[in-house]
Amino acid sequence: MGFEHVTVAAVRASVPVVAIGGLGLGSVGTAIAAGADMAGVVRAICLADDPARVSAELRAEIEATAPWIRFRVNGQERKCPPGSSIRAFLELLEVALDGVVVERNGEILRAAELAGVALRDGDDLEVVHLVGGGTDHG
Amino acid sequence: MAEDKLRLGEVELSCRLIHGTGKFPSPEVLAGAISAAGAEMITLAVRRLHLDGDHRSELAELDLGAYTVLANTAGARTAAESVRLAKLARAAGLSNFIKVEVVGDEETLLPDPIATLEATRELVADGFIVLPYASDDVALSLRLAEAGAAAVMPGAAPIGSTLGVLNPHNMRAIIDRCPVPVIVDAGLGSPADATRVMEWGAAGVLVNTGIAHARDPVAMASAFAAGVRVGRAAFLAGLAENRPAAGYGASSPVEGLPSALARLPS
Repeated sequence: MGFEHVTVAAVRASVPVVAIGGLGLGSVGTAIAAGADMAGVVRAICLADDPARVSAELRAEIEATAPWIRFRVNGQERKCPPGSSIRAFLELLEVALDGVVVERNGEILRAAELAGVALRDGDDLEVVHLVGGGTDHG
Repeated sequence: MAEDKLRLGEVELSCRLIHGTGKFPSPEVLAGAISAAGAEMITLAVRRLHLDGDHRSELAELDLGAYTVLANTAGARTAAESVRLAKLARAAGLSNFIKVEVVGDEETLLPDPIATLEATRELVADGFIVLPYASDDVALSLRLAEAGAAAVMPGAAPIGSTLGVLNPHNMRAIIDRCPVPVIVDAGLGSPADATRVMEWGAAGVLVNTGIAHARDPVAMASAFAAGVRVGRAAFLAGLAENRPAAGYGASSPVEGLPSALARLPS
C-alpha cells in the first residue's frame, strides 16, 4: 500500500494523522514526508533482536524528515508539504476554485497569484467566496 | 415614452426590484424567483468556503455573469470589518458595487449609523460604488449622499421582519430630500409595501424575505415586480395632492343640491 492515502488524509483532516501498519526503518520517514503527524510501529520493534537500537533509529529517521508546514485555513488547523503553493493546497482539497478569494495574513491575493505564493508555517488564510444571503441569513 | 431606467454607477436597470438571494428553499426556487421578477441586480454575501467539498451552492442554478452583483458586507459589526468584506467581495471579480451593511444591534439587526457612514467614506475613496443600508433617518441619508454613496438604502423595518414601512413620514422625507436615488431595503412584506414607496418616488426596492418566505416564492417575486412597476408608474403620473386639514374639497359640486337633500339632518 502506498503513501498517497496518508497524504489525502493529512490534507483534509483537521486532526492529527497517524500512519500505522507495516512501518519500519526506511518507511517511517516516508510516512512523515507523506504528511503523517505520527507513525505507529509495533512489529519492527517488538520482533527486533535489539528493540532499543531499532527504536532509536526509527526516532532518528523521523527527526531527519522535514515535517509539513502547519497553518490555519478558515479557522481550522491544516498542513501541506513544504514548498506547496496556495493553489496546490486548494487543489489537494478538491474544492472548486471559481470565484474563490484568498486572504493571507490580512492581504488579499488574486486567483492568478495563488500558484506563485508558497505557504509558510503559521500562515493564517481565509478562503472565501460569494454566497446567497445577507444579514439575517448569515 | 422614453425608457425609464435606474442608473447606478455605470449600469442602468430596467427592473427596479433588487433581488435578495438568502433563505430560499432551493437553488431552483431562487433562480425561478429571480427570473420571474425580471431582476437585473442581485445581492450576495461573502462567506468562508467549505473545505470539505460536496456542498451544493445555493447559486448553482444562476449564471452570475447575467446579473449586476451587489455584494453586501453582512456579518460586519464594525466599519473595518465592512471594509475588509467589501475588498474580499471585489476581489471575487464580479463587480465593484458594494452594499455596506454594519449591524449595530444584535437583537434587531438594525444598522450602526456611525460605522455605516465611516465605511461608506472609506469605500467611496477606494473606488467602490457604495450603496449603504441605513436606518430610516433623514439626516443620515443626507450625510451618506454627501459621503459619495451612489444610492442610499434606508430600511423600511428590521431585516427579515416583513413589517412594511414603519415610519412613512421619515421614509417620504428621505425620498424627497435625498439628492441620490433612494432604494428602500429591508422589511418590505407585501407587494403593496413596494408599490407604496415607489409611489412616493423611491428609485427601487430590495426584497429578500418577503419573497423567499412566501408560500410560493416564484409567484411572489412576480407579484413584487408588478407592485414595483405600478408604484413607479403612479409616481411618474404624479399623484393627486393629499389635502390634509386646510383644504378638503368635495369631488361633486356642492351647489345646486335639491332643497329636500339640503334639509336632511346631519
